[in-house]
Amino acid sequence: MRRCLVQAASSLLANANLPGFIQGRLYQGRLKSVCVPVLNCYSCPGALGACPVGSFQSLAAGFSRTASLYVVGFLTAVGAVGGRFTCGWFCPFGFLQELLHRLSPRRLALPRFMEHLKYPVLALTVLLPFSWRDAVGLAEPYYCKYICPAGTLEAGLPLVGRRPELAALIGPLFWLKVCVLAALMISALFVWRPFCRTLCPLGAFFGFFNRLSLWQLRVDRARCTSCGTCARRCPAGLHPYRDPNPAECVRCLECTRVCPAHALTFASGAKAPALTSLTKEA
Amino acid sequence: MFRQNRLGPALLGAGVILALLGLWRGEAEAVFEKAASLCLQCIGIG
Repeated sequence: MRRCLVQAASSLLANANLPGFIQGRLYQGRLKSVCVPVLNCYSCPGALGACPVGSFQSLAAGFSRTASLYVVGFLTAVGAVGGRFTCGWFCPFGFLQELLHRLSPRRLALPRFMEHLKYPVLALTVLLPFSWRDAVGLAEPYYCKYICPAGTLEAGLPLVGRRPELAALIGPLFWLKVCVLAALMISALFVWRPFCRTLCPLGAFFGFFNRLSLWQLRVDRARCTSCGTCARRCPAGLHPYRDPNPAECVRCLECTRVCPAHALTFASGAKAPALTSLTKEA
Repeated sequence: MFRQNRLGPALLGAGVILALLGLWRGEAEAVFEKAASLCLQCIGIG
């Protein structure tokens, strides 16, 4: 419940320009130069900040082919602190998928191989704007253009609904993106966060940091009884007591809450249970 | 066993330095220009 409130507050904060939804106009204040640590389309009428994926792609796609140190550095710093913690606690699109998942009593497991799709997606998201260029030397933000369902939901549908001049420009590409969005929303009814686990380049990037970040999930082996409660309750189908920090974990921390032995904690290196406590118990 | 993670602080430092270098190169302004204007590709009609 507490995480749900944080997710709701974060989604609202990231899209707090509420009059923009009515007017069909974007926020154009200086906050737009600040990246947010989640996938949140900057063309959303409510968006106060810049989507890091869109920003990186747009800068890379220009004539100057800028590999944005600002965006990469920002994401590296965020990932170094908590890995995919931002996915689990702050991402509006992840929150929406979780809400949808609560509507259906039927639960399906995601085939493991599909979780690897997001790595080629990340590679293409980074590389294509530098390499796939038209005759005049310009590229496009290909991920945003062909895949990003957050852009369709947060920006495409609200803007097309409010601005007839944009609605008049709708073509096959728009409907393709609507189909991608619809497929993911329907999938989210049965599978927990299908987009985050299969197609999100930001999740793939942050996942690299899960084993390296300052804050990590830790298992107190002296307390863990291997009862498997954490694995049964993990919405991503992981086994925290065996491997607490895989790249697939979005750090919802449900496992730390349900562990009957209190063996799982999410802590920084400095605050992790000390080795001395283990030796004392041993 | 709990291990002290040394890569985390190094990555955090590297990230902060990269971000500052990007700011020094004027990338925040470039991000602002992109983010403050309507991206037709993002909404599926570009």
